[in-house]
Amino acid sequence: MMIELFQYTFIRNAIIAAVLVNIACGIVGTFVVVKRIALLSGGISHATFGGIGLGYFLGINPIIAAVPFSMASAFAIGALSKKGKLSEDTAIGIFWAAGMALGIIFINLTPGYAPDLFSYLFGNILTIPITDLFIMLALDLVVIILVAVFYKELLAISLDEEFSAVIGIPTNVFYIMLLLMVSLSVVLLIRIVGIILVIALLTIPAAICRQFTYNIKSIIISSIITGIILTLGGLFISYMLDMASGATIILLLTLAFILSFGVKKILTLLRIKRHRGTQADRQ
Amino acid sequence: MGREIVDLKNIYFSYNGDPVLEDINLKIMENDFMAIIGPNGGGKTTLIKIILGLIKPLKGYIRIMGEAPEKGRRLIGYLQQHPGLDMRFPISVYDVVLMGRYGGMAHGYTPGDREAVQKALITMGISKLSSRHIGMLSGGQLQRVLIARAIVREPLLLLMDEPLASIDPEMQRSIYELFAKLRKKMAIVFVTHDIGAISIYIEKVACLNRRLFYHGLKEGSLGKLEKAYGCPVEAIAHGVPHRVLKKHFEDPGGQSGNSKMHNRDK
Repeated sequence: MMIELFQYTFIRNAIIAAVLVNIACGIVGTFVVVKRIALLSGGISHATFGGIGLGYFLGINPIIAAVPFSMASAFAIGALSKKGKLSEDTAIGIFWAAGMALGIIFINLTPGYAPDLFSYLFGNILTIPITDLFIMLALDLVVIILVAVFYKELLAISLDEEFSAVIGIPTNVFYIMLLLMVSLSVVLLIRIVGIILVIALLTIPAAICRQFTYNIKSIIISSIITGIILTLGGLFISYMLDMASGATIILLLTLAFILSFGVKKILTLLRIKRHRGTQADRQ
Repeated sequence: MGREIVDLKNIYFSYNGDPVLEDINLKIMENDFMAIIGPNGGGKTTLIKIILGLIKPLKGYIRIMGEAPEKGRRLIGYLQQHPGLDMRFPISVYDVVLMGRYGGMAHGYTPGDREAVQKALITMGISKLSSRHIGMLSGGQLQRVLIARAIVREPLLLLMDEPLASIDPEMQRSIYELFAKLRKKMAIVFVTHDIGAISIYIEKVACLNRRLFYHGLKEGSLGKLEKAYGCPVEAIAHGVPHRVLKKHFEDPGGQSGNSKMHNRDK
């Protein structure tokens, strides 16, 4: 049965996409979680819908149109909130709604019917064309290179922006860079889970993994693996039960997140017990 | 006397039209050990941020070793007031301190940096905590880690915002002893609202409440801070040997308080 599945191109593409997307997501999602910018990332992803609409309107691949649009929204939200003229949550709210509205207007203006619009909102991992796999690969490489080169700076601004500024890190530059990486990850994820569900795949693997280690690099690597396993698991379940793939993946992630709490609790109890045990041995 | 590290002249700052700092003049010299005391809202944190170039004054002149603050601040070790760190942030004590050695983009950490981290951990008496997650530290331990992060740069000046707040008196004393040790290597300046935190080790005191009143070196022993605080305040420390200050210059009869304090220390 599994072997039979692999023979379909669309399944093969879906599996490759799950791996590629979770590489960028595990890296960027870890920073999103530890720097607590999940809501901001949600704002960027919804604003990106404007870019999808623009793609329809111009008659180009919506994913390609989404890249500059998403980056521009990330830059604008970051710059506005850092200037202090607008509080961050206000900036997020405005871009969130305005981007969605723009997307709808663009699609209205486009003659004809937008058949796969729904898949941009909720994702459809089974319809990924091979060109999008190459876009994913390219975006992965950008994220990997940026984080490898600027790991120290990204870590420092995530922990403590003020101290980072004093020791000579251009904090606003790196903050915007982090948001731009979020916007690239969002674009990657749109195909898989859709704009509305992006935030879950970006944050849940890192939120699961951070409970078990306090080393950022370990969180990144384990988030990538967790993300890949859960995405493929969700894909398989959705195929078996004939349900929407994006929503199934998200629900599986949520379930795993809840289970991880239980596992963490058990591990903590075991550690306490072992600790008591060794104390008793000594006495 | 040594080199002049920080030079502030005629600094003014206001927030939404309310004056916060007026005509501040301050020089910090090499090996100074200075406390700047003032009430909450007196402009202490603002003053520190202006020195570091984190905020721009309305007007005035600032130099750190002859450079603009944005360049010169790399020579300052900075300890924030309640830095608001996320205690769940996944990072060890060692990596927090190592961050203090940041040497610019495309500069990896060198063995020299790692040696400096070990030295700072030893100085602060926390080498045993090196691999511990920051979330597992007590308040006093965290403060030592953050001071280690500030001094690991081997700065010319250690500039601290309320370093002794939320630390119990026993711990305060041991941190003071650390400062006394550190000052052989760097100037030490901190701001505090807590007059009781001024210890015998301190050599210079200034009072800040919108304006800065500088009390200079080895000034007598006692007095009142009512100018800075806007109401009478007795400078009394509990269990800490202390000295008190003359009245501010507006009051030429500044010696008047002298007799009051003396009884206590004798």
